[in-house]
Amino acid sequence: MERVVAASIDRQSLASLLTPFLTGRGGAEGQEALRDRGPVKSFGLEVDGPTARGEAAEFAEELASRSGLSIFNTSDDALFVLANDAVELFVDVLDPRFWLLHTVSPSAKAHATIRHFLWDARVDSCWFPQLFLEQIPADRQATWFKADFRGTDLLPVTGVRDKRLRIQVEGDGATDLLAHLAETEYRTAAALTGVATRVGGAGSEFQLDEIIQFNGRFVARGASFEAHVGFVADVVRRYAEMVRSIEARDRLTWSGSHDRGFTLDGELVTIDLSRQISDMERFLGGLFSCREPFRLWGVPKQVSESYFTAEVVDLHVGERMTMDITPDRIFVYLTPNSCGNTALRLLSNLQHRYDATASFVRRAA
Amino acid sequence: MTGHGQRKADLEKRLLPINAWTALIRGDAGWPRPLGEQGLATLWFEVPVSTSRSSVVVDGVAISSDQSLVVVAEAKSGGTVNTDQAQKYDAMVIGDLRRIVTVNPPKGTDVQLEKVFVCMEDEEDRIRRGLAAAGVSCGLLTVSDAACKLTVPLGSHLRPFKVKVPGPPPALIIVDALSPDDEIERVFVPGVVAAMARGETSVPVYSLIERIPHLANFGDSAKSRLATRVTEVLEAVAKLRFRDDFMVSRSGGKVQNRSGGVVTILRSPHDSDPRGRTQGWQRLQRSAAGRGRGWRKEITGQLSLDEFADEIDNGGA
Repeated sequence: MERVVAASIDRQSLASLLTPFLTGRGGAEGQEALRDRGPVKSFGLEVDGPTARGEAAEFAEELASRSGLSIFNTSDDALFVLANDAVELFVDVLDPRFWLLHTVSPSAKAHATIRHFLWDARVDSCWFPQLFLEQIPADRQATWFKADFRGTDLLPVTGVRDKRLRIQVEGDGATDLLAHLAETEYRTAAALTGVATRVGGAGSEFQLDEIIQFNGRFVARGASFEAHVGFVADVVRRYAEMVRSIEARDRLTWSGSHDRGFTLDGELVTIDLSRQISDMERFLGGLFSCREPFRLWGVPKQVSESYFTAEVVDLHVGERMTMDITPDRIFVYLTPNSCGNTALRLLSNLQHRYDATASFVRRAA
Repeated sequence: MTGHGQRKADLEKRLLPINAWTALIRGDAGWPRPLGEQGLATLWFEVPVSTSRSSVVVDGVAISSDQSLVVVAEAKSGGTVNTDQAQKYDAMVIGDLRRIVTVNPPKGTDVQLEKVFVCMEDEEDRIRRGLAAAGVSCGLLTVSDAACKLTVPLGSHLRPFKVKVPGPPPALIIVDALSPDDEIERVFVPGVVAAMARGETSVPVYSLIERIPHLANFGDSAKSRLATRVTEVLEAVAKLRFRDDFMVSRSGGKVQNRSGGVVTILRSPHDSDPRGRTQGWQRLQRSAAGRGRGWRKEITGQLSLDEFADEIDNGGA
């Protein structure tokens, strides 16, 4: 890599390299390599498979090769640079499964590269459900939000008041409008797609404006790349905890043996819908379209008037599972090999494509 | 749902009683849990128990969380009561279960053991007559898509109930060696598709079985029996509808000393150019549904008016 001498990069020098882009002074003297680049953008990715940094490094190499990128080691064994003429990505595999990618490359090129990564079955976005996203600015004021609900694929063709809803508001307490919408009949389309929050107190030298999008994307401006990385890592760490807790609690796991009997642990993942499914054919057709964002293959079977079951393949991890669908609830039977991200991808995209009020419910204790 | 090309179909009726028994304890999928509310929690399945009348494999064992009650359940797939089997249940005492260390029933002297037969509602009369003929008095749990009802003999420590249910029980036990061919196909063809999505080029049928959660712990002989059946079903369906996608070889009946053949992937969307993958997976979906194009409405991809309006902005000065 000619433009950035990767071998000399560690986390500290990465911060020095990228902080000017947070302040809008990117491409300063001595950083010709990154001149004319945009603000700092970060991406959280879930990579199925690697459990150690060495495995993550091997997979990063494979991914780079398939995506027309070169990979460069840095002086930190959990940090790599993936680059070609159009894009540079700084890839942090400190958690071998939940990667953080940072770039100042132009958005269109960076997003195209991430999309290319996502073509690999083992790579998935982080999918922040509505409640998770709402809580990010909990002790900080939301200063901007975007709602971008796209129900055209799953909702009935006619008779729906809120098939598409798109709002962007900037201002102190911006999300108050979303809260108002949630009290109206448009609540089923009031999906929180992105939110901005100010990190660091007023006057703090580390104050940042962070925008977080539900598909694991971040963009920031401010004074400190380290503060930005700290923020992104914290959000993705909390997301990873949620994924792992779903896997620990909800995978249906049988144990025992044929000469002693079997026992069962785990729960069905249950999604409640307040917008009842009235056109099941269209809903199932859209859900099991094998396309992004759901990435589900399935053949539904009607069991009774309002009860459908499907053997489904999550094309992200290549795992079969059962899903039962009723007009107001969806049940997902995660297997011991299922990925918790599957459940969160399903929920957060249902919130953006069918019912913004969709939520997980737990069975009675 | 004619547009889906899907006829209304019963879940495999044979497995409904054991799944209903489980749901009434666990409360999954919106089911009420009147058995769970009576304290029953720990669940064991397929437990071999030696009684004074020889051994019987108990379909379900539930133990109350206060350790005062153990319930054994026999799930009947039809309406026939096997007299010998019913009398083994009748002869069972708590000490017989205590020999099964993994089940670990409570040790106290005042632990009560109750027996329950579970059947479909439309088989209730036949089951009652069969139990009476065998001289067995025990609880009877009947199951339908609308309600479940438990009746118990006088003096039982179980409380009778009748509860409405939202539909069929969640299929935690989805398939076994006695399942009909179409059910085996419905479960295992997606298993082959999943192997394709993982980028595998071949997969032993035995491995497909081991990825079905409740089958993974079955004994080798039970898995081998099922593997033989799954091999036959997949071989037939591959020839009929997936000729270019996968083939099944029986490998002389044994693969690594295990029964069942090997599925060889001939063509997988996973290997296609990413832009053509979706069509490949959809083609497999149509084949799995047993229908040609149009088995379901295609999403047309028409722009919403909102996106259409963007054309003005994007084209504007």
